[in-house]
Amino acid sequence: MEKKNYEGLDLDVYEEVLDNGLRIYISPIERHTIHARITTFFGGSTLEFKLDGDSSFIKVPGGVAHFLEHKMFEKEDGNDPLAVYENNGASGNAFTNEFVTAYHFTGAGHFYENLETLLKAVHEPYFTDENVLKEKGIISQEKKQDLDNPFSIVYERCLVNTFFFFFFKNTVLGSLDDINSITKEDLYNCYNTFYHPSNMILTVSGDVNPKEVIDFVKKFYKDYDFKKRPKIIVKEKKEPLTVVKEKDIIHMDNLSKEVMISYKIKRPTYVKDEYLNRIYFSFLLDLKFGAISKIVDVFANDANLISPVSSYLEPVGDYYMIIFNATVKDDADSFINLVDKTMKEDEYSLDSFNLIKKAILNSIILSTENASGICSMIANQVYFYGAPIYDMHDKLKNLDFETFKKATSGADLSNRSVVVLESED
Amino acid sequence: MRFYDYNIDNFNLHVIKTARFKTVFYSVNVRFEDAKENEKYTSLLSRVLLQSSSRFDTLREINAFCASLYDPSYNIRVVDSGSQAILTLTASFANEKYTEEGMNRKCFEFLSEVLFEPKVINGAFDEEVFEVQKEKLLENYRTMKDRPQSYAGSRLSEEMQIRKYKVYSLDELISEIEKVDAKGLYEFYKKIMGEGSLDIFVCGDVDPLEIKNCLSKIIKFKGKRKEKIEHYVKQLSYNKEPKMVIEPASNAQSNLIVGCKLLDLTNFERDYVFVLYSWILGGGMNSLLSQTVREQNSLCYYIYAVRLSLFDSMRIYAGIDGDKFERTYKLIQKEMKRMEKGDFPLELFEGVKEIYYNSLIKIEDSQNDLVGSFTSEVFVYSDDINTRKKKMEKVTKEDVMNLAKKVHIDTVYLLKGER
Repeated sequence: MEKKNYEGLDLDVYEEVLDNGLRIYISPIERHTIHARITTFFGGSTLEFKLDGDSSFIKVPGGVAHFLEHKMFEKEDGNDPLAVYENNGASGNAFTNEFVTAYHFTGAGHFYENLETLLKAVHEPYFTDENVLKEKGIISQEKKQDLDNPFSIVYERCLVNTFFFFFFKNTVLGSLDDINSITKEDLYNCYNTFYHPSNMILTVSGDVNPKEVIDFVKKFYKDYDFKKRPKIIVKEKKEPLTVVKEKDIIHMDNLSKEVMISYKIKRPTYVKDEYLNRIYFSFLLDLKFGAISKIVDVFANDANLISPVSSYLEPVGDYYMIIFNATVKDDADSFINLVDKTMKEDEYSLDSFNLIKKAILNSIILSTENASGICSMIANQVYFYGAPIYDMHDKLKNLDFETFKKATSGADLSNRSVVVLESED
Repeated sequence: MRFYDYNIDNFNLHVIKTARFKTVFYSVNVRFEDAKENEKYTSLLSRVLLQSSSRFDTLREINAFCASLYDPSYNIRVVDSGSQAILTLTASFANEKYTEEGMNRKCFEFLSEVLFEPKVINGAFDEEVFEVQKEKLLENYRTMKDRPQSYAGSRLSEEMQIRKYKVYSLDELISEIEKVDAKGLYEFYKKIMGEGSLDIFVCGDVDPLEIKNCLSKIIKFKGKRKEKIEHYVKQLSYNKEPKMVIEPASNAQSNLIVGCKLLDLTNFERDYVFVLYSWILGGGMNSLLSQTVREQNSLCYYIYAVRLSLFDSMRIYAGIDGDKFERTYKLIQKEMKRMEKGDFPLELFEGVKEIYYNSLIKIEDSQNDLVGSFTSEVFVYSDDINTRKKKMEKVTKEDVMNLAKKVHIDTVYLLKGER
């Protein structure tokens, strides 16, 4: 067990790697409850994979990681892990995103019983034709919620229109057809590949004794025979710079118009540190579209914009995808043109840069206020950067305006895809 | 953790001093009487207050000033609280121990200004800001059908009367808002600030006396302190034959809401037995509805029950296929019957009690929950945390069965997806 510390944030983390490869991160904070989360590095955008040395890749339908997440709560003895947490007064859940699947619980008492339940939940699969079929009805309803949500509809189309080959183009839930085609064999294939401790991390935060937890987890794994094994190879495809389709209109019975704009940008390489590379790039969005940008008043005073304008930065392979979304009354083009014009301006103010820095420093203090936020932060950093960024506070304090300009100046903003959802008349 | 209450001129200040958090949580609440006409003002009011300022000309300037204070996050809403409405500002900012000395005071000043010193020109809110926000809000209402869950919720509120008055229909609300002008909205604001009563909560690692001195200078409020305000709205009758409303829509999924009323509840039942009832019936994944409708019959992804305890009512929400409505509704009725008969596992009954005790322990882990819990003690006279635990321990299975007999389905609303 090694003690580390997020400098400047008053936050200790105890690290351990087990023989079977499981990485453990424990961060005690003064709370009554404990949040524990086990994350497997398998999300919605992994659809072709193999173990190193195997001759061929295994292909699975879209939505399989999420389907698997649902089915991990089904146990041969009929004891639903969620019921165990609930009977102990804790609450549990799970989520799947493009990159990972995570299972977690939060509670005050019965911690070790809950932790054992959590670990068993991810290591004891029980898939049958019958219980897979049953889940299809449930997940189809989950998907239908998205099919009635204008944002989800344009997002789904936008992904397909932006990427040729990246599996990221598949939504986490998959299509209704995908969901209905998933078999128990697909689930076992994914389970056997990705739910090995060497592909997982355990994060715990709250009122917790790190040594006790690590001893407990070590003891737990004595009953399981996880052998060392070859690494996982996820099929990678070379993605062209251009988008599949630049403009698309979806006709549906909608009263407003839903707009999504995506920019596909090859990741600039001036800043080698991946964490800082992303932070600097996110400053581009903050400066152009954030709370203190010039455009914030334009958006606020535009009665055509019914919703706030939201923007996101997603790392996808060696690309960044920047997405804008808004609901507009009738004029989609003026919004699209305004965003484009703003994206392509390249005058930045040092004062604004420094103000955003201040706000970001505050936001990371806030993000360490609760146990689940801490577990998220650590898991994200391990997934994206291979390890927690213990000097993040320092790194953020030293962000530099000149470096920012160089870090973002080469970005090619010419590859753009636009989707508008509107009614036919 | 220590609690401090101060009566300052015309408002009450409540400070929760605790060293557990790096942030300071600030909650300002102006309570005023709920009335049908309020609805045309309240959403507009919070929008206009958030978008304008007496000190800054543009939103960007407001935000830039905010960033210079290490970016406190804040929001203003009008929340429903039974027979009362509450104009509330909640905010959270890094304690100055983590930023710069003097920042706490500056944050209090700025946030209080947002609520109490809005931009007013010739007895009206800023016309430009007002008109744009009005148009945005109206368009939001006009296109509500694009958001099926919100639309269904709003339609059920229209069809099922739980207040002393009948709420506006969506069309009525739109035409009422169309008639409001910047002057009328400001008059409404002045009325609230003159007639309402103010309670302020601060939670964090702060010096209570310092907060008292600081806020008594900053806060400019003309309303009065009131002794006792009653929030509960009792239900006196229900539709013996539930009102069924089925409305077609071009959606993939159908949104079902079952509205229930509870009659003749005692305080003990409302505060404790009702909680257990709703959790056993439709709380977590373990609940009767989840197990039956979702797990055994694969009819839905979500199904859950929500209490509106200040209105003695409850709603059950589910997203289903339109042609499975009859089947789902029958199952819901069946599960409610099981509650009356006490036909639920003892383990589930004990489990939801554990969840309740746990939720009490968890309150101290979040400033939001701490202030929320303390607010309900002050506003609706909830028991303190220790008493809550003791009283919940006393709830028996028979109590839940007796309460189940007082739960009546009043209105069923289905937004039927036909795509």
